[in-house]
Order: sequence, then structure tokens, then C-alpha cells
Amino acid sequence: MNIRRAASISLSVLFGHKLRTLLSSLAVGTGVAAVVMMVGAGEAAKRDTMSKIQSFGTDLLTVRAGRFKSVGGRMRGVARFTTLKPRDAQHIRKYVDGVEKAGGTFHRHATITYKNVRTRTDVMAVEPEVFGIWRVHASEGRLFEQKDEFRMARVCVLGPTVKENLFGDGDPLGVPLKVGNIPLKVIGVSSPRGQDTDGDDLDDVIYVPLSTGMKRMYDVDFLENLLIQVRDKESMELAREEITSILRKNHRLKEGKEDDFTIQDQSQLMETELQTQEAFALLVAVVAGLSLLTGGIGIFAVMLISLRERRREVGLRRAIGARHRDILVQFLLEASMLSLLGGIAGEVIGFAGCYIICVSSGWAPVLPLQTAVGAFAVSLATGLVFGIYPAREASKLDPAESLRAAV
Amino acid sequence: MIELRGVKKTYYTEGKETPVLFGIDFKIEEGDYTAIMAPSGTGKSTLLNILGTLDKPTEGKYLFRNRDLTELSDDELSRMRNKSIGFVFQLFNLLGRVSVLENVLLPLLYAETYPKEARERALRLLDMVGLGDRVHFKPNALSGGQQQRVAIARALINEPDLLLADEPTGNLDSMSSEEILQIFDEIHRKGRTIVVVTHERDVALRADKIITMKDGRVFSEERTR
Ligand SMILES: Nc1ncnc2c1ncn2[C@@H]1O[C@H](COP(=O)(O)OP(=O)(O)O)[C@@H](O)[C@H]1O
Ligand SMILES: [Mg+2]
Repeated sequence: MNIRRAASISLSVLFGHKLRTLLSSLAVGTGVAAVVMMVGAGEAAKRDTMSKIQSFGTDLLTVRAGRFKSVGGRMRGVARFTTLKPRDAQHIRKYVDGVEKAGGTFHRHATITYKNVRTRTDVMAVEPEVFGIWRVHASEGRLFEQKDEFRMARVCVLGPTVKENLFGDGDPLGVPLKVGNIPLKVIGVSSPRGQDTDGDDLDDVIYVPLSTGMKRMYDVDFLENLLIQVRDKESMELAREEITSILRKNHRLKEGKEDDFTIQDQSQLMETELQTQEAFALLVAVVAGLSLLTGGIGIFAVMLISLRERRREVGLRRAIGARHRDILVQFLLEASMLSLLGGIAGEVIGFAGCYIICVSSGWAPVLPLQTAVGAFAVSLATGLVFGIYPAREASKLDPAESLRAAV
Repeated sequence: MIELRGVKKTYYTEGKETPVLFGIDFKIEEGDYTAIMAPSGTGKSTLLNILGTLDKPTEGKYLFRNRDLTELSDDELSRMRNKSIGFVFQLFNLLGRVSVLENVLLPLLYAETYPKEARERALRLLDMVGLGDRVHFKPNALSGGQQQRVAIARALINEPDLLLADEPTGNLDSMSSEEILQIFDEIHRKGRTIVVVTHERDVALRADKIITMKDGRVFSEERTR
């Protein structure tokens, strides 16, 4: 049998039954669309988290001034302390093997005034090394340095969002700002950091030297966080132990007393989140797969109905020379065309849906090519699997009997 | 060309036996135009299905050009139907969703080779049956007589040795019937072997030979001319 001609005849049959074709393709299409959409969106979310892990760095430890507990996959402070000091940072830099960079931070909310424009933002007081840890550089002007830290310089670096809000396209360098009541000079604009996992803008911030923030602006002597970059992932465990013992000594914690700080491994946190995401994505994929199954059952039903109506046709085809096999192939061809048709429509809808989900969630849209090919293959397989029983039934019909069938 | 020897057919359905043919013997020569005549419900279609290899006799031999067809496999029989036998049914049996031309070409789908001049051949046949101007119509846009003529063209597309017709005019008015019978006359004149089963004497009289059946047996054979 000539498959191309058989296919073209099958197509005419399918297009002859427009509504039926539409409905059963739709069933498969919905399944394929669901799979492509959900797997694609899941993949995009995963990549998003991955890239955040990358940007956080897998070699980063964060010491937080207080006790934190993981609640629903999120760290919540249960007790805050004022015992974490710049001196701790110095000691860690000096004594802990494998530490590349370490720097303290704290932040406050503040109103910034420039001429008659006011905006509220976060003031982030950081030691210069923190920029290196965050992989932030100056996109305009310069970042502050050790000498600014020493001098408690009245300078600040604007996050890109603040720069945009206050200056638009204008040049902020050298401009005097008031942060709260303290006049500071803008010496640079930082490169963007993007969003954190909660989607908060990390660039809506103004950086000041730690000493400036502590002494000139807010009169505090303790840190919120201490960021530490270790040489490599392998140094992490040991560094963590040494940091713990230094901090406990500095904070004069007696044996048996609980830490007054929490060491967080950012990438570890993210990996936990990644796992949750993956589990969820799997669940969603399974559900989507189930809808594909429903599509298959749709095809199954349509093919069976079609078979009942077409017994005479089968008889006729047998009379003009079709073998069992030819009938089988013809029905399989029709079933797979139905599912393929649905598959194509489903892919298109699925991709569109995936794109919309990604864009509205702020993820870089991915076109999950593997999934696409997979879903396509699965839709075709669905047609074949669910088409095989009706096709076998058709091929087994007795020719003389089926020619006697009522019209 | 064809010889039936002691062909019997009994249907077994739901544990019930229905004997229909009780031992049929006859020969049909190459180029003959034969009518098999019997009242309704007495096994004409059964016999024709056996002649067309769509059904197998319960007992007896069916020789086609000295080959015993009861020994062929199902695929070989399909092949044989495709190449050597053309069918015309009472109910036309056209595919409703495809064009007249596609219907005529359908048997070639199952042929070993697809002749290059298939389309021309189909068009020529449609011309012959007077439907040259209807080739792209869908069957339901045609009258019964026209549909039957499409079916005849389809039966001839593979240039079969044997044309089998089961009450070809059973569903047609007398004018359409006459047109069909004239086409049969012409096909016969060109040398093809034809077997028509019918319960109408008028139809049977168009053939060279009439085999009359009674009680599942051959009752008489007569030459009409
Ligand atoms: N599959 C079958 N099972 C049982 N009886 C059948 C079957 N097919 C036909 N018959 C019976 O066999 C007899 C002959 O049928 P058929 O060959 O169609 O007669 P005709 O074509 O002369 O009208 C009828 O009585 C019919 O009911
Ligand atoms: Mg009959």
C-alpha cells in the first residue's frame, strides 16, 4: 500500500468529519498544551533559581546576627542580637583559613532628598569587600574603597533603581544628596543585582561605607549580616566551623550556650528551594500527562465510533484488495493524524502559554525544545496506542459480514 | 475460467446453523456473461461472495483458472481480489468523503504498483460510463444510477479478469437500470467475464447464460442466445 496516498485519503476522511476530528484532536491538544506549558514554565522557574544561585555564589556564607529558623522553606528571625561587630569581620578575615573576603553590613530605611525630589529607599552600609562578594562593580563613577571606610567619608553609591528614580538619564556624579539629615556626595552608580527570590528589587538601594553608616548616620556599633566568601566549596565546612568558634569566643558564649548568630549557606537554601520546585514541577507534569491520557481516550472513543459507522467501508476496502494489514495501517494512520493534529495545536498553545507564564513571572522564557519534541512524540504515541485496539478490530472484520452491515 | 465443485455454505451464528448452499456445481467460461437467478434470501449474495473470495465455502472446491482458491492465504486472496476481480454492489459502496475520481482510484491504493497513467485510465473509465464531467463531485451529489456507474468504473480500474455484480440494479429506477445494463453489455462486448446475480428475469435475460438456483442448488442452466 502506498502510504502517501493512504494518508491523503485518511486526511480527506478526517476533514470530512470536521467536528469529530476537531473534538478528538482538541482532547490531545489540551494534554500536549498542558505538558508543554507546565514543563516549560517549571523549567524556566528552575533556571531562574539556578541563575540566582550562581549570582549568590556557591561559595558564600552569611552570618546573621540572631537566631533564625527555617519556616516553610524561608528563614525567619526568632531572636535578634547586637553582638555581631565589625571586629568579628576583621578576625574572620585574619584568622580563618580559606576565607577570601568578608564584610559586614546593616541596613536602614531612609528618605533621600535631592533638590526637591524625595524618595524612600534602603540605605545599605557595607564594607568595600561586600561589593566584591556581591560581584557588584561601578557602572558610573567609582565604588568606595578602604580609605573611604577609614575616613568615614561622606560619600554614597546609588543602586541603579535609585539613580533612575532621582536622576533619570542625568549625571548623578558629585551631586550632594541628603540621606535622612546627613549630606552625602554621590561618587558612583553600582551595577544592577536584579531581584532576590521574593522578587524584591535589590537595586532600590543606596550604599554607604559601613563606618559612615554606623558612626555618622545611625550611631550603632553592631552588624546585621556578615558576608563571607570562601575560596571554594570544599573550604566551606571547615571555614564554617572556624567562624563559629571565633564568633563564640568573641561573643563570650559559654560552653552549652546557644549561638547568638546563624550561619547560612545561601546556595544550600536555594538548592532546597530548587528541590521543592522540582518536586512541584514533576507533580504538574504528571497531572498534565494525565490530561494527555484523557486525550488518548478521546481518540479511542472516536476511532471506535468511526469503526462502527464504517464497517461497510472496511468491507468495501477488503473487497477491492486491502489486506488485514492495510486496514490496520489505515486506522492507525487516522488515529495518529488525529493525535498529531492535536499535538501541533497543543504545541502552539503550550508555547504561547509558557511564554505568558514566564513573562508574567519575570522569568526568562525558555522554549523547552526537548519537552516539545517529547510531547510531540507522546501525542503521536498516544494516537498509536489508543488507535491500535480500534485498528485491530477493524482489520479483523470479516469482509462479507461487514458488507452486509446496515448503512 | 471458474469452476465450482460441490460448494456448500452453512452459516453458524450464535450457535444456530443456517445452511444456505447445498452443493453448487457450475462452470463459467472466459468471456462469458452469466446471470445467476434466484429469489431474495436464497443465497445469491452468499454465492457471489464466495466467487469473489470474500467468503469461503464450508465445503467444496472453487477453481479459478485451475487454481484451488480454498487453499490460498488471506493476503493472497486480497491480492487476487485486487488484481483479478471487480465488484459492483447493490448499494454502490462509495466513500462519501472523497471525490468520484478518488473513489475510482481507490483500488490502486492496494495494488502492488501504482501505474503512472492511473489518472488517465480513471478518467477514461469515467468517460465510458458517462461521468466525464462529474469527476470532482462527491458521490452524494450524484443520483443512484450515477453512483453505480462510478462503482463500475472503480471495479474496472485494475482491469480485472472477472466482474462480479450483486443486484447492480436492485436500487435503481428502470431508466438508470437500463443505463447500467447497457454499460455491462459494452464491457462484455470488449471481452470481459461478467457474473451478475439478480432475482429479476429482465436483468438475467441480458446475459448469455442464466443459471437458476432453487433450494440452494442449481436448478437449471440455459443459454439465452
Ligand atoms: N452471517 C450470516 N449468518 C446467518 N445467516 C446468514 C448470514 N448471512 C446471510 N444469512 C442468511 O443466508 C440466507 C441467504 O442470504 P443471501 O446470500 O444474502 O441471500 P440473497 O442475496 O439471495 O438475498 C438468508 O436467509 C440470510 O438470512
Ligand atoms: Mg443479496
